[in-house]
Amino acid sequence: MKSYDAVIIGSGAGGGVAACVLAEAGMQVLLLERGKNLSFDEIPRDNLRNQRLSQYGHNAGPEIHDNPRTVIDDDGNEKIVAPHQNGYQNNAAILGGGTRVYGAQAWRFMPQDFRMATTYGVPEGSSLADWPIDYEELEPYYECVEVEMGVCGDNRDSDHLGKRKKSFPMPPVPSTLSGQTLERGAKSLGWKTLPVPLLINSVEYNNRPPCVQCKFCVGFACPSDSKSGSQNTVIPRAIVTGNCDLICEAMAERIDTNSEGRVTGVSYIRDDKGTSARISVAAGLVICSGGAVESARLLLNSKSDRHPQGLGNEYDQVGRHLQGHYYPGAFSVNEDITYDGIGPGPSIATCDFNHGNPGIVGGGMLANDFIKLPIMFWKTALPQDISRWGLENKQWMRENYRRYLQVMGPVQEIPSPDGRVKVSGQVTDKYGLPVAQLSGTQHPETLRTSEFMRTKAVEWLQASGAKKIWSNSPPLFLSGGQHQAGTCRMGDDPKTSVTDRWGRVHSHQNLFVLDGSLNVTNGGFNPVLTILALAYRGAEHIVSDRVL
Amino acid sequence: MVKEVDFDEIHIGVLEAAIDRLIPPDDYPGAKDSGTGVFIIQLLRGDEQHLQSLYREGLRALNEEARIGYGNNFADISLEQQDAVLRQIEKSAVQTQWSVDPKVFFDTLLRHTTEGFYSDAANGGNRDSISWKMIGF
Repeated sequence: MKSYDAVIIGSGAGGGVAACVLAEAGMQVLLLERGKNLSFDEIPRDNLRNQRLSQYGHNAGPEIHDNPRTVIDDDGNEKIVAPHQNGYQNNAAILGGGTRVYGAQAWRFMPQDFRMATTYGVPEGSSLADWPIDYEELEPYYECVEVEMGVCGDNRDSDHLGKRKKSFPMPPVPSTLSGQTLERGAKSLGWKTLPVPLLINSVEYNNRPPCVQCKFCVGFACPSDSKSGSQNTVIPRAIVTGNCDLICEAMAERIDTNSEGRVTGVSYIRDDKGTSARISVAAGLVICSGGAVESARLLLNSKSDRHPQGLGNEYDQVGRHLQGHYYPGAFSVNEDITYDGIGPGPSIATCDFNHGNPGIVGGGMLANDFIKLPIMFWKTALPQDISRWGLENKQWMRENYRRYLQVMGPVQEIPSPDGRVKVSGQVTDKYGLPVAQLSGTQHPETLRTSEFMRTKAVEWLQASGAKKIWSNSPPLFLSGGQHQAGTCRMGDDPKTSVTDRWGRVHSHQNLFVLDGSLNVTNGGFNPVLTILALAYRGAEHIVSDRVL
Repeated sequence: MVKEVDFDEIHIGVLEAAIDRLIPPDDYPGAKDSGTGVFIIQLLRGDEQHLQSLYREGLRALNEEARIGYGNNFADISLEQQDAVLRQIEKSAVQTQWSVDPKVFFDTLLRHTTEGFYSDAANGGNRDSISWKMIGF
């Protein structure tokens, strides 16, 4: 049996960073990825099959056949869903994970985001809690990610955000017509704004060129390799050490334990040219970085006689508190042209309403959006009072695509212990492994925050030259998706958390989780920078712990 | 896996006439001349092959609505009459016997038509990216 110091499962934000830190420290690492290693040309710009609109499939995995999950519906029935269907909570399955095709918004959480329970109290029935660490503890790692992977941005008007010791290593991408229009509106309201920080090169950085401002950013691969994901930053660094083996199309089947309950390795299934092989490797330690759904599933599927509820699940915590982001917002059409076709699109944000909103728990960031594909504009942006078809609709599309504004943002969700990942007792994937079963919703308090943020989006548009504004309020649902988090939350108490403050599973000295699963709460921001920073911190701890 | 779509000429004629009312020509082409019919047929051979019977029955019944209401095939009645038939189907206010839900058929046809017209030309509709030029994408 092959043996490694560490086996890392999943090559997205968390796993990529962990592979880099461990391999550069001289550890022998195996990095497993269930998806393929695809080049830019193999990730099509298909408008109907991508990570933004997966009407008929994806451009970056998972395959829509043979990868089901199940969802418990309102009547308690278990229904099978495919990866491109609603409720699946999909994230890309490809080398780089979600970071291969994401929009790359690179926000730090705010200090209050780590202390939600203390700041607001705990709404009844929710599992709102403080993190075991604070902003100051994570700040050096935020800085490390920003510098090493490359984040562009600007500090202006940011005194109310977490203090930073270093400014961004790159200036922001150029503002757009829609950004300038919204900036005037925010000024008239007295709101502070800042450019959206992005893990995208605005100038040459890390020997990769600046963004070419194309219209196909989020949901697609970058044509100029200017968008930074784990696949073009930390994973190549891990490989070049000679200490990291990377195997793609390798699905982890279980984390192996011995009769004393100690983690001893990983068994995985390797797809190669139509055949599958089951392989076991020995590991000094194992790191789960498959994302909040798949990491929880793997721990639950790794049950043994000593761990009949799965690994780390002594207190029935694995898989609970699933979070993503509700995305309230609003549209307007303006008299003047607001579209200049300059990608990626998100160029202005306000963080004035992330906290301190009277009577509201938390809040969120608001920003303009990525350039919208025309079909997405039709599917998601039409006001309700225009006909959906005929000349009226066609002419509305023609007149307004270049005149619309959209403001929206991720709301800090109030988690519920019942919004959760379990494994199905009925349904298995193509390898015979029980699939993730999703049930519950966010805590209903989330809706109040979401509605509050919708009114703020409307207010911003009103001040920005809107002729007409429309929006709607979503019902309560289970979110997760590309921002999935929370299912193996970190904490000091093993009864209410799965890992310690470093990501080490309480009950297993050599088993770690390093991905969004650790997030106790998910901030009112895109979570990737926090996932990357936590992975740097956790991986460095593994290295230093080992040396001692 | 790929199944042929066994539409007859009436089906094709109804399909093209109907989608051209959902997105009609003006100084830019409508759904028909931008290739959306081809897009839908391709879809029904591939990702949406489970909807072939919805289409076959929906197009048959749509034509029957035109014949009962206006005495002629859907493709041969006036544009105003075509719009009136489509509006009825959209509301499920139909006069003939349908073995599929009229509104489900209408909504599916509209979804496919807009997907063909507004998505990338490589999908088979939106010939020469004409809708993208129209809206200024």
